[in-house]
This record gives sequence, C-alpha cells and structure tokens, in this order.
Amino acid sequence: MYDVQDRESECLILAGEVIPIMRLHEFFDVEADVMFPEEAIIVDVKYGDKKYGLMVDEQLHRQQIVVKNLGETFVNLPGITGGTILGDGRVGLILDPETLIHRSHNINMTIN
Amino acid sequence: MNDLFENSEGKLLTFLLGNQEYGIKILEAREVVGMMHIDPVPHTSDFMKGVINLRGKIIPVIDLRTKFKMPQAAPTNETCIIVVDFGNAFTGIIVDFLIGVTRIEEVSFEETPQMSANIRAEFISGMAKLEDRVVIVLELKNVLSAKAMVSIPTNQPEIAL
Repeated sequence: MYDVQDRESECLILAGEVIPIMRLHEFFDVEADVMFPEEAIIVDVKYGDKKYGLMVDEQLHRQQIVVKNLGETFVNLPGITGGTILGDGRVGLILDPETLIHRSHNINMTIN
Repeated sequence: MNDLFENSEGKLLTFLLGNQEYGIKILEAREVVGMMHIDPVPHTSDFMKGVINLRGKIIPVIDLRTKFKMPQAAPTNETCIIVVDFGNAFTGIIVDFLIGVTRIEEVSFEETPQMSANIRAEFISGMAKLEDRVVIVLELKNVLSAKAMVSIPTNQPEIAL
C-alpha cells in the first residue's frame, strides 16, 4: 500500500514506516519501462538512519562483482561510482545511493 | 606540432569520417577494434556514446561524427573504434573507415587556423598535403578533453534531507 502525494513527493508505507521513493529514471534522464510505482520494484536503501526507496524497472540479480574504476573521464558523474563487467560481457554501472539521495528532489513528508 | 615529427617520425594513423580523411599521431593510437556493443552512461555529452568492455577493461567511447557536428550515420562493416592512449587513460573513438599508417613530410604540413565551421579550431593541429589528397591532422588531447564529457543537468537542486 502506498500513498502518492504529488510528483515531487511519492512515498511508500512499508511496515508502518513512510519511505520516500526516488525515481531513478528521472534522475538519470533515461527511459524506463515502468512509469508507476505500483508496477515497479522499489529497492530499499538506508542512508544513515533514514530509509529511501529507489524505483527501478526490474531486479535482475543479487551478486558479488569486481568493482572497476571508470576512469578520469567519469569522475564527476553524479550517482555513479564505478563499473563492472557483467556475465554477458556488458558493462554494468555501479550506483552510489548516498549521492542519489543528496541530489534528489526535495521531499515533503506531509501525510494525510 | 613538434611531437608529430620528432617522436612519431611524421607517421599518422588516418581514417575517414564521411568523405574527409583525418589523422592522429601514430604514437597516440593503441589498437583498433571493430565496432562492438556500447553500454550507454547517463548524464554524459551527446558525443559520449558510453563504455565498452575491452578484454576486461572499461573504456569510454566517443563518436567523432557527433563531436564534429556531422550528421549521424548508421554503423557499417567498416566502422571501427580506435583506442587511443593518453597517459593512463584509454579512450575509444568511432571512425567510419580505417585507412592506415601514412608518413608525412614536415614540409607538407601546415598549421591552419579555421578549417570548417563545425569543427573547433583547437581540435585541429593542421593540414597535411599529400599528392592526391589532404589529411586533417587532429589535436587529440583537445578533442578528448575530459571536462566536456560529463553533462550534468542543471535542474537538480542539492537538498539536504
């Protein structure tokens, strides 16, 4: 069950806690398959003692990876801290929740 | 342009972008690979196509056509990626057709100011006149300047939560 207030402050109520949702596709300005939180997967992250939900299309795997440096070119890229080589040879990008949360829109937590 | 004639012995690796032949100093070129799958990276400039996996190393790839404001073209069988080496940073550049190594004489090289409206003067170190054609010699370190590659949207305020 969730309570969507307006575009700027969507929240999820999980086990009695109100967790703000961040739309990753908006932050990264990419197209997402899933546009509504109720159809998406929300990944819970914890930053300090606060919890946030990152809205993603699909959760693929949970795995251990080798973190590779993306190099000087991408050192200023917000929200991305590195890369890895996936099983099929493609490059996966490693996100940094702390930066994502700092850079996300202001969140109003008024609850009706 | 001393570097071209002192260290590279006037040798250029040349390639085509559209109908025009361009060249880079041979010492800057590391290897050439065929066009391969590129994974896009968000918040980067339009000419930064993304990254490739080159034998386990993640390398950013730039589309020179986009960088030089040329119209987009679909990759062909001849399209390839030249991996260039700047200190420790490898970068790939997408070119339409690889020609090969050409040696130019210092006398046939001219530093020319503005070649074309779309390619900034600092990208070009000059022009080499060969018998049957002209090669535009690129100043690669300006083309690949890292500051231009990341493009952070300005509509995201930093807010403390």
